[in-house]
Amino acid sequence: MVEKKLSGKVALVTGGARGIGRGCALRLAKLGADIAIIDRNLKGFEVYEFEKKQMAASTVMDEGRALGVKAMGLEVDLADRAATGTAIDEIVKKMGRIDIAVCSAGGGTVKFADEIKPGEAVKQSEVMGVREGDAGPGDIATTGTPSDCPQDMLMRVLNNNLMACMYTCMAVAPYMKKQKSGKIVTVSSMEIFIPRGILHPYGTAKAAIAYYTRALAQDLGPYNINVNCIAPGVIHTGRLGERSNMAKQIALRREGTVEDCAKVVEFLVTDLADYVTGQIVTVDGGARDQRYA
Amino acid sequence: MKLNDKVAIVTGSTRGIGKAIAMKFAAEGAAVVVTARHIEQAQQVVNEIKNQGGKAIAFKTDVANRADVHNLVKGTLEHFKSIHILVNNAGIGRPAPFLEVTEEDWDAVIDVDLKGVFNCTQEVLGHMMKQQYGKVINISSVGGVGFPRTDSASYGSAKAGVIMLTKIIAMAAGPYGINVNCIAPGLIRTDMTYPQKAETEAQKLIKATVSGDKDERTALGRVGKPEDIANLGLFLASDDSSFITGQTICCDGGRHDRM
Repeated sequence: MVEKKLSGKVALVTGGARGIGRGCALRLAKLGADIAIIDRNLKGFEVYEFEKKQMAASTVMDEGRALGVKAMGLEVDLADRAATGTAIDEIVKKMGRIDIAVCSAGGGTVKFADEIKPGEAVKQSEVMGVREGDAGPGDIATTGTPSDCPQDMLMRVLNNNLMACMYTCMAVAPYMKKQKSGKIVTVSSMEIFIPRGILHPYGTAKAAIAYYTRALAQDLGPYNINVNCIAPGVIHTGRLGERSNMAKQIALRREGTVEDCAKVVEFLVTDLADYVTGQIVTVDGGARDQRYA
Repeated sequence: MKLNDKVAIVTGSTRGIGKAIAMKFAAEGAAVVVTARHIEQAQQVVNEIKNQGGKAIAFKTDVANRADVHNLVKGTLEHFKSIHILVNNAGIGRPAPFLEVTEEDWDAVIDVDLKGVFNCTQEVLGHMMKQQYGKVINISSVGGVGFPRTDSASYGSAKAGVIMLTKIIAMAAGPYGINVNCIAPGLIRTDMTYPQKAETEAQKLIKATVSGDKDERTALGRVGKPEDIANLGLFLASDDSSFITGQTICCDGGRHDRM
């Protein structure tokens, strides 16, 4: 019998339609939180067989309702600051409040799978170099380097990752400040600790999110709001699917799951973490340190 | 109950952070081994745990003494048959301006705070590797994260050492299903940080957290409680942190980032 310790709370999850975001939304719903989902595409899981198989209903909102909580979903481009603000206002209007904000929207691709035209080149396996077989159904990974990155790739990755995170937090903060309570979790990446510069500017965007998290924690601490960050390592979502051969390079000798991340997010948004703020919690099975071991 | 059927050793658990961790783990179903340099104090905590319906035994242990630690582990295995969790909490501080630090004080702090972690973990790890399961939780300090106090040469160095040692042991133990992590507490209200201070003086220090003295200031505007550390300790001892290893998490209310 799961204790419903988040009963009565409202949790916003950006990027919550699929992947790590969806995992967090469902974990919080199981604990009794009502969920509000923002995603560029509320059916984004459709292009990944791996994720389609896992859906217990037609959207994560329906999955939440089946768990007995209230749920709503909005399709918004979070790189649009005004649209983000409007979306948050609408959520508060419909759900009454926001107690938790998980800013999971983002990713290391410059084009999403459902934006790729038939026949367009898939560069992911070349870039990553660590996958066997095909790399998912067609994400186009960023291929910029720190010294040379095409402009549209640069802006898109910064917008989808860094700006989306900041705009969400800036829209949510006034409500949490008024409440004098709140828990915010941002999502960075293990990549920020290994500045090899591949998939650039993904690492740069994610590193900026980590700094922003620390600064936001200082800003909002006096209002009893905790702000923390998870930095996931290799996690099996639709993009990775069930393929990879990274286990040998990970101390715990296995790759991660969405649930591995969701459990940590749960900790960070409950009262167990009341005195933890401004922290970047790496969830990587010991991969970031394994490189040097 | 997140720690049902687990056996946890918590070193230095007669008061402060160690005691809070021991009590919390016992409340969550773990059988707890309470250690101290004086057995009577350890036995008091054991009685408290038993009064709350928990399981516990006491051991006289100086973590700087290898023979003591060896007997602690041997005795725990004899009594409880297993060890799942080790919390390396025992720690001392001997603050002094850098030029006044004596060799004896330096050695004492390094021996308990850093070598103690080495002693206890080395003694326990073989057993954890055999059972392919273990959680090691080290207690460092924000003083070891990058908060250089000029009166903290030995303590700060030892606590910084614990952070690196955590990563090293995590890499060695990872392939055996063992998680090794570290908590860096900030300013926590215990006998060690507020020793024998009159209540009004302690309250003055706590008030300084919110305004005035920048040394005491935290983002969340309050000094921590031992239970705050115990809560993070529970997370690191439970399955909820199963993909986290080699990491140090500060539990400081946002203190060490505050200027």
